Amino acid sequence: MRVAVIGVGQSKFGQRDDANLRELAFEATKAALDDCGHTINEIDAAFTGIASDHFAQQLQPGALMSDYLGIHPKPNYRIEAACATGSATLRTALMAIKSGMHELVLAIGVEKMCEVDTNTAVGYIGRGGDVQWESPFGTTFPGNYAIVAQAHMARYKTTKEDLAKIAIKNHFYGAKNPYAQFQKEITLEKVLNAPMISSPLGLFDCSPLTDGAAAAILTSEEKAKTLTDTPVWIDASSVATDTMSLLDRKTLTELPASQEAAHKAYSQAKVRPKDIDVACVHDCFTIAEIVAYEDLGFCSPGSGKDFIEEAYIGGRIPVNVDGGLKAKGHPLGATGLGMLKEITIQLRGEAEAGRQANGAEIGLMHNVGGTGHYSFIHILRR
Amino acid sequence: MGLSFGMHNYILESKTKRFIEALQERRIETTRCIKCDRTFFPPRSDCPHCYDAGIQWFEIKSREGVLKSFTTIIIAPQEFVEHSPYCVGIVELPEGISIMGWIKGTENELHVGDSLKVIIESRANGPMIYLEK
Repeated sequence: MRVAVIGVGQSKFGQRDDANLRELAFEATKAALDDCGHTINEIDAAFTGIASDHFAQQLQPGALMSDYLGIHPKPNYRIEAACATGSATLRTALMAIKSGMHELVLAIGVEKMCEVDTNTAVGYIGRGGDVQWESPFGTTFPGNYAIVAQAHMARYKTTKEDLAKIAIKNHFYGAKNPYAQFQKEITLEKVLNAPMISSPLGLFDCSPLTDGAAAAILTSEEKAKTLTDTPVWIDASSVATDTMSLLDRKTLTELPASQEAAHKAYSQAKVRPKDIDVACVHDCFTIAEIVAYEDLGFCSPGSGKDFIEEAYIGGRIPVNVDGGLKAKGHPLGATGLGMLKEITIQLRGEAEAGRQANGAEIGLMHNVGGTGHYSFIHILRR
Repeated sequence: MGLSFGMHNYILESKTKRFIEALQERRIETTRCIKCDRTFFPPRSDCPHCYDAGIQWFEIKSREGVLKSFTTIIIAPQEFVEHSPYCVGIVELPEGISIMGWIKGTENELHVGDSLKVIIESRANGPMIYLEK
């Protein structure tokens, strides 16, 4: 039995001084329900993705959502998988529908990261590494991906200019996306002259702290056919995990969890990488998108830097034409569901002018948690 | 208050306290599974493969290895702001384990693949691991 996406929605992503965690979640949920013309009363369960209790300073935030979104007394499950929380939430909802235990469900991902000051937020995110064995050396999340970047540059001659091209592409498309956090194009000079965060990654190599929410309404194949003429089918859902510490990784130039998950997803959907018409990949840092091209088999290992020009619309596989995490923003719990919204509208032909991948039939979402601690891949088809 | 290793310990309790005590005496000790012989570094008190076999401690004698990667951290967690910038490196030792430490000096002239020495410094509050070209 296939599972269908029948409604999608999101809040504007950004530094939302005007709304808090519950209110952002409501924006996205309302948008998704309006998208499919249904009400919260018809939903038989909700799946809530929130990566951290710390940012919004609210324990059991799932319970808050049960209340504010009008879900109670029905079931609500709170899911977490670091930055892949949104996709983990999607997959859990999908599994519930496939099991027959729920039929019409809401998947909502939300994060409010800008309420605490930047230093505090950076400290929280740094706890995503091995706190016992790596944190004693002051490691940070950008530091972990900087370690990947340094190794990739040494092995494959990837350069800082190559990394900058990712930021430039994603800002080019973010500028066309009214929901994106950053809606301005950027230049090579701006990226290369930006302050350093963790060498070789500078400010413009890093996705921002973002407030935002994204939601989807999902249902079974049988019910979808009675509710909509434009279902988007989830043809593959896969996940793989990896070691906690970078010290236990055999190689630092790739994310084995992404490779494993991609292999399973292509097999489930019976497609090859070149069949993908449009993709959202996890560019938490510029290097992560280059590594993603390689891990997903869009190009061979080490040649990610040469694929960037193919990742524009008109190229072999348009990637992150919503702005990616870099320009659209990365509210941890929402990102995976934001990717779902993007691929869904691409397949429906509803993306804004200048960022619609023409004739897109098969889309791919690649959502990573931590430094490849989790990788979730979904393949959608219209 | 026990010894801590590195610059700041966020996790204060562990069944592997012996690691820090040995490091303070400038010995690198780690564990292996008695049943499957897998080596763990950093040390673990439990084998995630065999689950009930028990572990034994042994000493890592090497003090030189190959630099796998490094980064100079500028934007630091609160407890490390006073130390910024600092360079974190990962070196692979001939025993097949990777060890993390702070690079002595800067990343100028440092390249992935360089041979670095592992230096353990004993301090009043606990040991620190440095890597030096």
